[in-house]
Amino acid sequence: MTSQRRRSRLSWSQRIALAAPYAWLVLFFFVPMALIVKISLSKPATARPPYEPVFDLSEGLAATLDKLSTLGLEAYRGLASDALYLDSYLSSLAIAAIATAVTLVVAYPFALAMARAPSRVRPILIGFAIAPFWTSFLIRVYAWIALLKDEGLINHALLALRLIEGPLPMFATSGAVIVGIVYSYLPFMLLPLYSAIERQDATLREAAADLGATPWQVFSRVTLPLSREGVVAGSLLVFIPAVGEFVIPDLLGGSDTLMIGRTLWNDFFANRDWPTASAAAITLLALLIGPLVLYERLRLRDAEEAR
Amino acid sequence: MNAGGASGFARKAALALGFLFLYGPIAILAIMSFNASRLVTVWGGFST
Repeated sequence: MTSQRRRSRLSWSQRIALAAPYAWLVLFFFVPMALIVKISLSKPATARPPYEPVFDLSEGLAATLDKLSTLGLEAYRGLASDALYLDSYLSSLAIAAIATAVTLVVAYPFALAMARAPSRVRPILIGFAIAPFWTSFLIRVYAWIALLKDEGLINHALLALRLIEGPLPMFATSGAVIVGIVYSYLPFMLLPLYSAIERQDATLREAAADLGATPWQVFSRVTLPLSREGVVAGSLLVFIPAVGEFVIPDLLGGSDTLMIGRTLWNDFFANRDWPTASAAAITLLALLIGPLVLYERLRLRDAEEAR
Repeated sequence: MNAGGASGFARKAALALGFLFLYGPIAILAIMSFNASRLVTVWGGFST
């Protein structure tokens, strides 16, 4: 009732302001998405673009309906029967999950230390934590190649110190991909954690300490539970893009590091099997809708509480 | 509160490690850009 009344009170300028972002979304998100769905229902063909056209109104209505009836879920059936895709999805989810957990463990003490720094230096610390991400993403991943390779700096240092006898195989492994993801996505974890910890009321910790809690108990029973929203938001912000990551596994991973982004790229560009690649992309989106909805709900609840 | 003592040290250590992780690879890349050696990660003297 109230929402209806509020809607009718929107002025024209407000309506236009609201319509603009939706028009943007429809044009640049839903239309491309619909194209991908369309391609996923088609069959591969030796043509340009390499799939059978879905419909062509110039051929008349009957021919168009005929074409539409040939559409099918074959590409999806192909996905289900090919173990490569199942393995790619599972290993993408596993790599993204491990990388998210490692990012959380790395970022939490860092965010805690920043949030507990004197309030004067906090903006400076945050600035320095974000600054590396203004340099090229590719350059930062290349830096890890130089560090992790067999003749890279870490192996050189360990060999020089005689801690190892031969170079450790670190480059071109799933571990290297995880390190790359942790390094690249750190700010997405850092900032939600920092804001969740920073806005906590310091008197709660003082009260806990006054009531006899040890510093560890203050952390585990006050600070950590109160920062839960930051943990969830940061984890989803790292996990969701990491599952579909293509550049990091391509540069740091080995030929046996399966990730769905890479499998997709191979299908699109090497095999020119656009329907299967599109079906794989749609399936990936379907897999990630759960975490995406969870993130949106948390964000909305946050916004309501802040009001 | 207890800004000094053990917690102050832990805080500084966490910040130092965090910034080392963030800036270490970039710094190494910047230094290696002056490397004269043809191998990317083997030091062969300065080049300009």
